[in-house]
Amino acid sequence: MDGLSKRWVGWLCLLLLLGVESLLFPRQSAGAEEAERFVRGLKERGYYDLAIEYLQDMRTNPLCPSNFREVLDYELATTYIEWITSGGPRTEEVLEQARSAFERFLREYPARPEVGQAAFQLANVLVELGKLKRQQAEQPGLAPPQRDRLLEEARHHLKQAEERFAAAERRAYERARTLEEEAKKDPRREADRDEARRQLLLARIHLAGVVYELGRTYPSNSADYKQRLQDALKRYEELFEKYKAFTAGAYAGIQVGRIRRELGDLPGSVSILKTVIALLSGAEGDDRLVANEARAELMETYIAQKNFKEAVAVAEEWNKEARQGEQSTREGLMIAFAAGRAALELARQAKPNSPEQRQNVTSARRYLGQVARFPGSLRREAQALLNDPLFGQPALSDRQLPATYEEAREKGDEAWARLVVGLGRLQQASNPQERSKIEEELLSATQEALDLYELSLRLQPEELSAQELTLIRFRMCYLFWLKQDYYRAAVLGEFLARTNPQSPLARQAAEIAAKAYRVLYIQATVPKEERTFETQKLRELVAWMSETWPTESETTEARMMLLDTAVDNRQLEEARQVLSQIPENSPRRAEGEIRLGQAIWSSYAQAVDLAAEVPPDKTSLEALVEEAQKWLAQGLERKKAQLAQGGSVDFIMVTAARELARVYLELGRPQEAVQLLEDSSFGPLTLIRKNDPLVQRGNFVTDTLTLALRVYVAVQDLERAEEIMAELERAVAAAGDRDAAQRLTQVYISLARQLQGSLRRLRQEGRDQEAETLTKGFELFLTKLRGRDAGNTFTTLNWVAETFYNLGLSLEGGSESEQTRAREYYKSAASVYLDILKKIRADSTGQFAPPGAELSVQLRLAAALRGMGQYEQAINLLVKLLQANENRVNVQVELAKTYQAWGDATDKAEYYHMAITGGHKHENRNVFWGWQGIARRVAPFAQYKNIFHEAWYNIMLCRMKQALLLSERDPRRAELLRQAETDAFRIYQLYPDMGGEEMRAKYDALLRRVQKLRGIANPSGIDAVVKPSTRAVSRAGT
Amino acid sequence: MGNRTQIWQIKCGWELCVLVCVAAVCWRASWPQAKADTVRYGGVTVSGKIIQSDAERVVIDRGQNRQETIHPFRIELVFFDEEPSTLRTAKLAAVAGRFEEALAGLERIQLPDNVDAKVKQEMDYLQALCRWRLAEASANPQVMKEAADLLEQFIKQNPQHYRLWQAAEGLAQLLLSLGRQDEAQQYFALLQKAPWPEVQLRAQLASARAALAAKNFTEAEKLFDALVAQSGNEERLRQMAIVGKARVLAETGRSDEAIRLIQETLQAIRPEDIPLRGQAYNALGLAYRRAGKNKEAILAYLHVDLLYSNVPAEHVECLENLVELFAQVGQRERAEAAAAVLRERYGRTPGGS
Repeated sequence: MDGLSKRWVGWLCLLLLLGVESLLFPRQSAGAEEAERFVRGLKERGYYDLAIEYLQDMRTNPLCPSNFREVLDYELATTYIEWITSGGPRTEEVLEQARSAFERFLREYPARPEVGQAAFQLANVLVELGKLKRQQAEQPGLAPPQRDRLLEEARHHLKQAEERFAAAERRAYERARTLEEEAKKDPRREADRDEARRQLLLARIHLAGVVYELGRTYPSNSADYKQRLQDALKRYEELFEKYKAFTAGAYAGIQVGRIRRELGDLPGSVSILKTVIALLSGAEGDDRLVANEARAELMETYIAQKNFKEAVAVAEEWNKEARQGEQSTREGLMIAFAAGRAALELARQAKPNSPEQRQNVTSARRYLGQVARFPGSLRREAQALLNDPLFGQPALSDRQLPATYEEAREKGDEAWARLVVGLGRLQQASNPQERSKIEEELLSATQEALDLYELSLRLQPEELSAQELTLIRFRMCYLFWLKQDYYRAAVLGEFLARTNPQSPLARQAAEIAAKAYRVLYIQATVPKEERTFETQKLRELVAWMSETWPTESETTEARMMLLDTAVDNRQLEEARQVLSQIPENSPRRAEGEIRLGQAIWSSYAQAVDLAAEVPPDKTSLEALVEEAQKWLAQGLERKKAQLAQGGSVDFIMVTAARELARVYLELGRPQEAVQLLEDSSFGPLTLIRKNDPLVQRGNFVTDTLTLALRVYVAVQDLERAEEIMAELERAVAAAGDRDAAQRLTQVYISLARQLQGSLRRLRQEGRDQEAETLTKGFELFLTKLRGRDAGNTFTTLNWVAETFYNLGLSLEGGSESEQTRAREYYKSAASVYLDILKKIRADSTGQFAPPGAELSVQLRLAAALRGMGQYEQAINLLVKLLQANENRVNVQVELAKTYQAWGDATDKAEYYHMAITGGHKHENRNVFWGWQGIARRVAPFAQYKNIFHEAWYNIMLCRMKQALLLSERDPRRAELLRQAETDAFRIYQLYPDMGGEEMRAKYDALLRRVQKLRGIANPSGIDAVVKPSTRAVSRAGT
Repeated sequence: MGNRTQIWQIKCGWELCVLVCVAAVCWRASWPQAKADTVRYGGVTVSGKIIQSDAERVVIDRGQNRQETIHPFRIELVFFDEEPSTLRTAKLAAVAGRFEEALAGLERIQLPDNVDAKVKQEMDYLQALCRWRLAEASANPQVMKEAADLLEQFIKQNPQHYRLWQAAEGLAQLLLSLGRQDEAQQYFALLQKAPWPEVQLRAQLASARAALAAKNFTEAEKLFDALVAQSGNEERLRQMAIVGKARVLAETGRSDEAIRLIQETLQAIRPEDIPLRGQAYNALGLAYRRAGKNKEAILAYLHVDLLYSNVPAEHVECLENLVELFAQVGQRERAEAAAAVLRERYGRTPGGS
């Protein structure tokens, strides 16, 4: 055949090959392309879990295109790998899943083009599995047979990987050789040739890596180890020599450095690593990362040479030129870790307490602290090193690690003994420095005891008695508790109790478990309704303890934990049931009753607060009040009985007295409240006056004095009320708040709101006489204060006005005469506000009122005018403020409320409409936004979240009220109600948390009302959105 | 120079002349004449004088006793002789999908007082068209409402205009998106009276969807079934009707059947038909959700979110469902991420649609 013919034959063969190829591997179908894009999209979003589920589902899904079905396992395996490399779980299970998927793919579709990649990746997975097994084998305290088994498994995986890489190398070599020849003849084949060379290089590097890993599965003094490492070294040296101009070659150089170090050739290691660093000098991108890794390895070699100074110098030099963010990369952390260890060693070698030692300790702490901050493989080791005594805490060094059970147990007991003694000393510590020192020692003893007991369990002989095992486990449970590792404390404690209920330690272990579950509940960051794991575990444990040890004190303690949890979850029925199981003669019974009483009172207060939206059932409210009173009083009586028998007053008792006083005040029985507050033994006021440390907690003092002020006004002891007021002001000033005046204002505002709440409750329950007494008392008191010649600061006058305002508010919606009185109170409030404004404007020094006070007083004046029914005046005042500055959100809100109130007063829909949509043109724009405009403008700002939801709530409310003004047959009524309902659903869709628990409850209550008006027999409120079966989820589409 | 050469040169020269003349004619033929109306429809452009243009037909006199009658709903572009070049530029921008540019161009046009009424009508329609397309893209309820108002105004002021059908179709779709089914129905009824089956079928489809949105499932199923039977060669229309039918099945407790139907249809829908594939996956998500299969529903909706999110209406629907589904399976962060897209990308507020 002449040359031309040969050429044509060659071309024909090539064409044939391509044609056959295209038949064998048809172009990707559209369906497969979509599936691939979808999986890729899921992964880019970080939804690896969903990608894996999707791929698994596709096996049986008829929508799965046949082309894609062929690569399902390949996609699945690579998704597992990507998940691991993106920070997902690097567990044996995940690696095994990846391996199975690759193996299935290779077995079932050996002709697919991805086969080469899959084989390679599978080999990598096998290497990872091998490394994982080796690391498991290296865990301290493993029994030798177990260790050997793990190492065998590691070798098995690695040998499989070796075979695969060797096969890949052979294939790549043949292909590269073929393409070398072809590229000489046809330059268009050069790209394929280069790719084949790359594949060959990769295969060789991986093969060398596997040989190295195999070596590491043998003891370092064994012949196998040396032989394997020598083999790996030789391979890497060849690769480095041949490819040092490439990144892969530089990587091979690093491996040479590492292996030389492990074989003891430290100078050789230093030499090659320096060479690699020099070769990569000034490099960017991947090469820069490799250079950094080379530096880290060089530092390790210096450390092995005990040339710690040089190691630290490398790190410092590198830090000078490190780029931003480079220090937290994998290589940056390797450098920091090596530097921290080197500096620590330098500190050890230096003279104790010398400047050199201190400097190196600081340096070591800085480097190791950096590594400990970032997730990664070195984090744990860095954290362990930070426990070194040089940093102030003693550590269990490798040298001290016991080798037998007896030794570990004995040392553990020693550490335990130190702990027990330390706990005793802590109780007697006389000063904070001593306390602090003892606490540090306790921390160290705790960790040491825990480590040693864990070790002892791993080394335990077969004949170890159950009793001894239980003791060790119990001590570990307690140690976990001390260390605040509550999850482990709970799991171990419960396990111990259930498996050894007859053991004397079982009950205590169960109690620790119950308390640990309770702490886990408190510490959980999710909303309370989602803390179902902790709640359920506690329930189950208490149920079991109640069966096993029904009358023991530990069970009572556990029940108290469950009671507290039920109260926090607002599950009052469960709380009642748990309380009923606590024996009457138990010392904890009183506390349980008080806790339940407080919870029921809180529930009552919340029900009354929602009254505007859903009028409460009077009977059930009364029942709640009675029950709250009953439990609080009963609990307090028990406490008094304990006191009489030699017990002491505790915070629970004082709080109970205060809370019961509050209940009496709310029930219109202020005299009884006075008796409680002033009780000579446990009265909160008595203890405050004595400066008893028991009550110096948080806001207890100010809260109690605020309550006392209300009580004394209610009994119309105005002199005493004035004294309490002065005491309150002194207490706030003494608290040391930077802005005591602001704090006092907040206290008074809170006082005014409490008063308003109390009066509303009393009136709703028909307790008109008590309400009248309370009102009269405050009226007298306020008038007295207002008439004072001296002592009236901005704060007190503001409070007087505010309280008049709230007196008026409490009479809203009452009888004709009550409404007339309400207007009088509003008038008094307005009059005081005007006084304040006059004083502010007359004050040239600016000392009378805080900055910004004029605007807030004007706002309150507008509110008072609104209360007086002077809507137009109020609106004029507010609009003027907006014309000066439209962006005053608080003024916008006040104006919206005013229009809304005007609508309520006149039953005119146009005012509700105005409240929603806004108006008042000024310079060609509407200065008043309305609730809709307010919501739209504040939506992007997190700090206005409450206003946003208040606005939307009121939009719903206004729509409902507009609807109610229309006849039932008017179609606009249905439309308005539908709109109101849709508003709620939209809020949920766009803001799933709906402004928090309280706001959500308000939305829910209002929504149920709207649903009822729409004729829905069993309105389900927000639940209709959360559970889709009751709501359509589709749209018409376009 | 030899004779042969001279003859060759003359021949070439003559041939060149001919070529130039032919090219000139072709060139002139391909561009609108300076003083003529132009209509482009079905990829074809014709010029002449429009002698009749109303809702039933557009007739163009091409000279030499040739008149062409064009069905109005097929018209892509019209240039009137009287209109200013700036209006033509704006029209071309709109045809190319550059609606904001078209609107900006419209604002710059200054018409003389004695301008022909039809030029004003062209401008009104162009503005309404651009607003409609931009509203569709934004899925913003306020914007959609404004666009709907413009279209409605155009139709009321020009009830016999040749653009009536496109305007009515656009208005009906916008009203549906705004949840104003009853008003949309009026325009569907109008479209169903159109003299062309193609328009009627499209209107019927939209009507069926309106019935579905109003939860009138029996009526909707009847309409979808009729469409499937009548759609003939209109494969895409048939597929849309099937997807609609599947929604009805899902809403009426026949989720398994709906799932099967959608899965079959998905295999037939062209991969590049993004809007229809988005609709199908949303319907699949609905069917799974109704069947209580939350995980499968999430995956179906995520198809729209990840692959077909450039159709705003479909994207909004899938996001709304993902917010709820992710919350139900305890993946709050993912629910919040979906809610954030609704708020930030689509300007969704609780008061929207």
